[in-house]
Amino acid sequence: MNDTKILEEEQAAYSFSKRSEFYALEPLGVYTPLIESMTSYICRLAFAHNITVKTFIRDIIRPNMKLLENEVGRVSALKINVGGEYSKKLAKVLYTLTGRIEIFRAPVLVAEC
Amino acid sequence: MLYTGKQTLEEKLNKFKRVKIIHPKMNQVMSELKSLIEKPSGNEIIMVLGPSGVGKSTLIEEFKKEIINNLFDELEKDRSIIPFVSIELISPDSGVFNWKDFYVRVLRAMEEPLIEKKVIYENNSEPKKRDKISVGQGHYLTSPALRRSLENAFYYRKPKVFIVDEAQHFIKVPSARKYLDQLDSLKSLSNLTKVPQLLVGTYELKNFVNLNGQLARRTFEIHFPRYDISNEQDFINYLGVIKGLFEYLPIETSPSLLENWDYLYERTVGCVGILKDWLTRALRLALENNEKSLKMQHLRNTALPINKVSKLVDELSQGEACFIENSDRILEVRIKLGLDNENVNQKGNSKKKNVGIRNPKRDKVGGMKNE
Repeated sequence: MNDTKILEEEQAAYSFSKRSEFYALEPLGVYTPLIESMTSYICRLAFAHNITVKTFIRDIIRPNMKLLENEVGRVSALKINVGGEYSKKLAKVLYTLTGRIEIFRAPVLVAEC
Repeated sequence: MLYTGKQTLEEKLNKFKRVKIIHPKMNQVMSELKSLIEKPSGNEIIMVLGPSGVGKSTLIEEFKKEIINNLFDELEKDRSIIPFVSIELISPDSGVFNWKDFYVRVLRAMEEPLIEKKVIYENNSEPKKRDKISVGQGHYLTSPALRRSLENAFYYRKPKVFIVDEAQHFIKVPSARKYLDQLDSLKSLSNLTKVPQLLVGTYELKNFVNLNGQLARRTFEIHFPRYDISNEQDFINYLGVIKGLFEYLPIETSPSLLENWDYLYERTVGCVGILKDWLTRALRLALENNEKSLKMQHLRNTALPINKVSKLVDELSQGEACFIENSDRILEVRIKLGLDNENVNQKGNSKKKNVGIRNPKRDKVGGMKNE
């Protein structure tokens, strides 16, 4: 006759895990030799969010990598893309920001693994 | 002693406040909504219209839970997508709807980073000449950088639906021309982002839609009605809701309450939300007076004043009238389309004049020529 349901609501409403802070852009050319470089990925990420690359690096990358103020400006694209500790650290930061595991497949990192 | 008594009072009240009623009307609207969102037939704007206090906000909450349950696996797989975007529109204090504020609020709801640092990339041929206009600059009512960010956010975050509660605030604009622009902006937002929009609001929204043919076609309205006691099924269901709520009250209810169902209906006009608020007020009064049961006197003391109820009734009868398919209106449309010419003729012939009344035509005056 009557399908009225009365429930007592708990406070905790939603139970899915936290969302990634930035959009999960897919790196271009994953699983091919022409995989996108990390610098290119950073530029595209900033572009997709309508912020300047400068803002992105200064306000997001630097605090996340725990770098000093003048440390970022001195890094060349080569250092970012060529592998080594810096690249790995940066890839980890980008992974936590976007949740894209493919970022670790940037060419130099693959070669090292 | 007094302190603990007070605490239990608050606890009891809060417990009752948390009670949610999933009643038949809500189920009906919910199933309509689900089918519209799950199987979209286009980039639509869906509107849920209902009187104040009928349970629209509760409906949204339930609907959100439903979306999350359906998307749970997908959400865990891809951490960048969000199940929905939901905001409550703020009534603009200047009396003019502020799109810039709207964009900021939507972006905040989507947990977008660096909102105040958004720029717009104008695509000039030389990358050095990029025109960067930041959010702080430009017109105070709108901001292309924010709009572009919003479109991007919808594109990448892939929400299933964009829910706007209290959507009647959209119509707060200074002139009639702006009135149309408002909905056009919404429509293009929905077109670009391909995310269906769910506008939830009072009957005021209804007039907003039928201004423009293109919009009337794109929008889909769902009526969330109150319980109308002239309908037998509604009457039974409403009594069921009242009984159900009485059972959830932490104190006993005097049996005379249900006998006065007409009073309960009169002061709630068949809206479940109003009923629950009223019972909460009455419960507080009864608990504060240390009564063991809820009596009619508590209800009478906390009922909505009749002036307010009368205003509510006026508003909802006006709103409900919009949903009735009037036979005169149907005929008018058919005549305009050239479908029912016979009816027109018949209607024309049926108008007979009273005996002894002449046709309205001009009589000759003067008569100089004849002489």
